[in-house]
Amino acid sequence: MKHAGIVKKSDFITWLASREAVITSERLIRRHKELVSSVSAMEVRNVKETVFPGFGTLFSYRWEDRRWIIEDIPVTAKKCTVLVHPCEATALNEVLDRVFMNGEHPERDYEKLRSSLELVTIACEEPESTCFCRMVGGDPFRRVPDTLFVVPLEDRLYVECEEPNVWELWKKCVKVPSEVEKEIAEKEKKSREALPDPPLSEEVPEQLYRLFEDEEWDNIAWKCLNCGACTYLCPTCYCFDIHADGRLKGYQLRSWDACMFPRFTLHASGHNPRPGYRERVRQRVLHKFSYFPMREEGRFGCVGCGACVEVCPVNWDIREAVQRMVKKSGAGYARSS
Amino acid sequence: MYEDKIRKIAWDLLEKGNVDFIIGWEKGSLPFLTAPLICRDVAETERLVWNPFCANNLARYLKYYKGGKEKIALCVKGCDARAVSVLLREEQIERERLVLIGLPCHGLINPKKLLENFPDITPGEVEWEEGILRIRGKEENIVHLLEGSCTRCRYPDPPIHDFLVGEKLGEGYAESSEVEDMLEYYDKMSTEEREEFFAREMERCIRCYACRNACPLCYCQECFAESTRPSWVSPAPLAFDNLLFQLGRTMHMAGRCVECGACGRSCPVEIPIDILPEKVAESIRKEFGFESGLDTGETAPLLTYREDDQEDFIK
Repeated sequence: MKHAGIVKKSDFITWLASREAVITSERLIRRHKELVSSVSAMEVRNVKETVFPGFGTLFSYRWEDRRWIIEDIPVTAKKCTVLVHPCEATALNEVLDRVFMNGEHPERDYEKLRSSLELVTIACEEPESTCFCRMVGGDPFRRVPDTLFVVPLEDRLYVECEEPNVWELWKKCVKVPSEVEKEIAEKEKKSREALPDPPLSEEVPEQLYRLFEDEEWDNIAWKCLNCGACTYLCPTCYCFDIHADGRLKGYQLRSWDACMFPRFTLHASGHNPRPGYRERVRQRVLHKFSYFPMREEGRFGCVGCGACVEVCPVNWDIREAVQRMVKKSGAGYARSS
Repeated sequence: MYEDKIRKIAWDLLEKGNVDFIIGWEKGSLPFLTAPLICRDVAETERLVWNPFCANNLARYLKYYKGGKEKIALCVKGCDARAVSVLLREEQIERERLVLIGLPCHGLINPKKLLENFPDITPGEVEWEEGILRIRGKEENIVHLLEGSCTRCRYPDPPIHDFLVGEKLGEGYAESSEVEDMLEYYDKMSTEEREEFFAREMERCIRCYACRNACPLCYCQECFAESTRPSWVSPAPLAFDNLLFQLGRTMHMAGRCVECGACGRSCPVEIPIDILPEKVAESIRKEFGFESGLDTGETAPLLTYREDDQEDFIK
């Protein structure tokens, strides 16, 4: 059930300052400096760093008295309040959680870090030219489950959540006046209109899969440099590598890896099932737009935040790639609601 | 207009079957960006553009065609042509397989600087024709908006080319008093400041290898940074290993780097990494009087062996 309220901006900031730690993303700071400037918020480039850091230590090992001694190094987590946009919250809630936590074998470190986070979703009022959340089933005003949804107004904030008891802030909230409700609806409409790409239809994952061998991938992939900028700054890319640092004594490390690198799929035999840029780029597109949704009840493996579009050194635009293949497949778009 | 001339040349080359494809730039999907374009069909040549946002060094794509038979037409700025020249010297591609469309370059505009100087500017308000920049109808000097590497450009004209579109410019911005040389800014730092600067920047590096992959001259099949036997550099993006990777790359670039700045421009976390190879290029110029990619037939100083070398350690 939805509960809505209004809170003074000063009360919100006081509440934020009372939290143990506050983390926010680079793009949110860019837009809402006034909300986070008074609290010492830690800034992350990419929200996945909070639960799946660029590198981490799994265990230590050493050869002693003719045997291996292995010591577990569990991750330390502290309670954090994370301020993000709906796309970023969706990346955690609906993509990374599915991969690392909701399955049969939850990942220990991820679970620990993730359960220490409380998410505050700040509505996205000014979608940028790189944004396309609506295309992948999102919305700039999406109420992401289990998060506190916030729309900043002039000197107060509109707040919405499912479980008011969970949020201490709720005690400061008052009833929403009807003119504010109207204002929110207008903002929502305006923001949605700034995102022209309609949602992809449910058939897209299946249809794209059928185009696996299509020669169009060559044209799509040609200009890609095969660097890892897009995957490393993507909030949903979750591939990693495990490697030992030290021979007789050292640490087992885990760090991000990317399907864009030739070595990612290189077998010990020397055979590489993804030998060229064509196969690697296809993997990135199909993993997010075909394999992941086919396995995860239609949830696209992309949240449309546009970080990859923003950072690509050759302006390789995933929207163009998907639209080109969708057009070819004839799957098209869902009727716009 | 220069763009029309480029399209005409490209059209003719494809129509007559002189080349298999053209590599140039097209309008990007975001404002103030272009993207590399490969034209295999005459109809696609209409998409070719030429403006101060053509940031990618297209010589980078030649590595795909090593050992092949395709004939390739490539659009080249001064620095792109210098990179091609190095690739020819290093036998990575054959001259007969290339048709170079030379483009004297007035420098690249840094989109961030443009937006800082002209807030809320839209692409329609920026006009560029034959070396003249007009913003909101008013003529503007490009020098305040230049990319770092362009502020120190010495060769805006392609030293090798088969076609030349536009007038030769002669000098770059390197000697111009109007332009602040970005490398000088880092040169002025004390050793401690510089150490601190790099320590901080290397903490931010995510080791995506965009710098290496954007570089026209990084073409190793296996990069030392990704080698596992032996493993020189940890795959984890630790600050020390990041620096090791960057310094290793810089040394591999000594006497080869053409100072195009592609590595710095490609960095997704905006580390001005081009200052490392560019500083080494400057040292090579000052110590050995050698500049890479000028088609002089000279061998790079770090690739030569002379019995009468003045340094003892070489013998």
